[in-house]
Amino acid sequence: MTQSTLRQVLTVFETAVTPLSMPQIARQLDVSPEQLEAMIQHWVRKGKIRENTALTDCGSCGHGSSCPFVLDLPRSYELVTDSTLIPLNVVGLTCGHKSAPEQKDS
Amino acid sequence: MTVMIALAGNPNVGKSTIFNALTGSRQHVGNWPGKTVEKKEGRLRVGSEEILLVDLPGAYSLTAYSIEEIITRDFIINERPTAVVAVVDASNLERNLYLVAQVLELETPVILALNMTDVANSRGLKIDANRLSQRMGGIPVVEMVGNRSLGLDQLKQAIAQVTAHPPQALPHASYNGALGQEVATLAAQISANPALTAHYQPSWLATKLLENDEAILEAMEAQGETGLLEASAAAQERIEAATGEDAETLIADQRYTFIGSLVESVLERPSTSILTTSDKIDEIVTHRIWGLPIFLLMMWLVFQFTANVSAPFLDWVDVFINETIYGWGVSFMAALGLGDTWFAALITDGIIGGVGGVLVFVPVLLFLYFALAVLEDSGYMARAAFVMDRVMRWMGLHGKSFLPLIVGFGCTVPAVYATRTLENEKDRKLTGFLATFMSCGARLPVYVVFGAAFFGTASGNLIFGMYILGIGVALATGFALKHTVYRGQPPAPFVMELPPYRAPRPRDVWRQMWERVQGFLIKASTVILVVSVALWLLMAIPGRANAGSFNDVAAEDSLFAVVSGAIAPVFKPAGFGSWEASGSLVTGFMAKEVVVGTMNQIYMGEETAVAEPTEPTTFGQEVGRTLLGFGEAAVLTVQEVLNIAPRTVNLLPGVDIGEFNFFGTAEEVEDNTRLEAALINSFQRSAGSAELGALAAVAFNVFVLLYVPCMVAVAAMRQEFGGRWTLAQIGYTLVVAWLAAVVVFQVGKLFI
Repeated sequence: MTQSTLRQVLTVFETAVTPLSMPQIARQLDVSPEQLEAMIQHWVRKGKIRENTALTDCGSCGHGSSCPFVLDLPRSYELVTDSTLIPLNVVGLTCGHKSAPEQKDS
Repeated sequence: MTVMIALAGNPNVGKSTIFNALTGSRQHVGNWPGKTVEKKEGRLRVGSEEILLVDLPGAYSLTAYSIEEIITRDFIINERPTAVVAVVDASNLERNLYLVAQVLELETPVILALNMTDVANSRGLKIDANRLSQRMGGIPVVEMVGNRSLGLDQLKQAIAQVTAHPPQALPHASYNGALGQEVATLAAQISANPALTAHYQPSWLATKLLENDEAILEAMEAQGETGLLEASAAAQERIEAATGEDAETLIADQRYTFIGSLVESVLERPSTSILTTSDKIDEIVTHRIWGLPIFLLMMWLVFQFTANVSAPFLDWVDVFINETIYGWGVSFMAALGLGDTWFAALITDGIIGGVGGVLVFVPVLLFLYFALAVLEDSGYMARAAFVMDRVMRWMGLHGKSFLPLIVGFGCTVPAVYATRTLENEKDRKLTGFLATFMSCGARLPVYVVFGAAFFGTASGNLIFGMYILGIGVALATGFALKHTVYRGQPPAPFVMELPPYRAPRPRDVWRQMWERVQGFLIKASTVILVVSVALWLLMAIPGRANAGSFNDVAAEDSLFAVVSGAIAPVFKPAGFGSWEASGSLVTGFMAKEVVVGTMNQIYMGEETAVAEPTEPTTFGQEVGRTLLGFGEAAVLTVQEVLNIAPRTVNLLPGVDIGEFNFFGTAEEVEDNTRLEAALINSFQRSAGSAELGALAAVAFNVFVLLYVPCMVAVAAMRQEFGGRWTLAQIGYTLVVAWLAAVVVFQVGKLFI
């Protein structure tokens, strides 16, 4: 049976072996980039795909707000494969950050 | 009688702007009952009607994924507003209409407020509002620019129309095929239940049951509607058997299909869009084979640009700080009667020599960050991450690992923290391990000064080589560790948005440049200052008996030299077994920029001790010389930009532009700065000959690239990964750095 377009979006993530761009996927599925984004957001809301956020703060060099060294990269998404995601609470040494739980050596 | 209108829409579509424009100061802000989500109500008068306007929380759909979505749909179901004004972002119709489609399923009168039409127009998007209204069952569509109060009157008219003449036939979504049949069957069952129809629209409730909406399922269970729940479960099985798809996905898919065909019929996109040109460029830039060489070429151009174009201003700042400011410092101390005191030496040799020696490299960093900001703002860096992902995967590493590593090119500390974006603990630790090999900005002054001293106009190649070597060692280490200590699941690929290329915006480029250099300047006034003072102190204290007294001791007899000299033999196989080199590396643990600052203090202090007296000049002459030098540097900078590849332009006759030699040769000693000349002499001495001096310099740079990062980065690693891991990492970097430096020197000797 033919998969729905929405399911095909998820299948693209599940079967990809190399990085893909959204324009690439939109062309492959014959949908507009905006519609593709809407569908990806559907799977993000369902917890099947994760939207990656970049680090913005460090605070160790005394730069109070967003870290100037972090590159401003566009959004990226990846398949959620397990539930061991560490929450992105940024930890710094000086201003404005909370401490991370103690990490155990492995 | 007060008419109630609800304002709904996705987050960030300008809903609150419209709400404020309609209600002005007649607002009340509170919280939704039992929730921490803000509730805003306001009043406006439309004709003779008093309207109560309720601003619902931003929501992407009416499924129970978030508290905002639950609040929005519960309000519409329970409070039954006269109409819902659905605000959509006209520049992003597909995403926004999903909520509208679900609101229509509630069979509530809807007015579509097409907001941000100015943004849509600026992107070349044209929406046929009349056709949109027809395709959505005749609902009013109002075009607006909320933040300029355009369309408000038309919106009020639409509200008045709906209030005065409520629509009799409300448009509602219908589903096709097996799904449509099951929705109709369930809706019929619900219609026969007055307890349910008093509260819910039958086909909407049927849809929610088939979607397995948690809140609805709980409500039905609480109401004892077991039969309905069983019927819903059976319907889901039949749908899956007939279509091969679960009901929830099928429902969403049919909504998106409807929205897609709707938008296609009402939206006109620009015929030639930037995206198409971007796609063509991306076919080359992210090509499976050519992508990586193109990325390497871009990086080479960046470092060529950085090294050569910054050189004139680097020279000017060097003269300004190490001669002019230094001279003013000496004169000022003499004028205060402190001429030959330790305090004067602290100020001039310690602080000016140490901190000033590092500040000399501000032009280098400015130009590097300028080049990187241009690449970033143009959209190229996203493609670089994309290309490197393939390389990482080939090594068995997680492609997303490269994103923190790119951060490491600026500073290792945020690169360590950026590993938190990786879901797997092993991937996190592995990436953190590799981040230290990505040459941070603080190491750049070392490459620049050695590159200028030993390779002249080809110093960009040394810098490029260091960065590539760092990436190479990181990948090789990652490959080895991934197949041994950090063995794990193969990484899942990621999907990245590739926005269209654009011309870099000067303001954003300047902001990025300045913010990054600012961090460097802050460090100069803190860590580097403290280390400079401490170093001066260690060099002022005699380290051998009868070698002098405090502040009156030769550099090689100082405490610093004696301690550094104890470990210098370790570096003899690498060609730089001198106390000056080993001492600089030790201080580099505080901050990598301090390597150059330390060398400046050591060598300039030695040179000052034997300097010949210079002709006295007046303050005015110094200022004039400085300004003239600045002008010359500016002209030479322009010349260097024009001479990026072919060195043909010579704007200042009489100033030798130097021949271009890809592999570079050392310039004549008198053409170098004083520090560069001192380094050449020192490394030639420690390596054993003039030819081997350059090789030893490369080995030294390799060591600086690979050895332990600064103390702040080590502290970050300790915090993120634990003490034992950090010690292992320090040990590994020291061993790898030493081995690499020795291999470079010993193997290189065979060819010289």
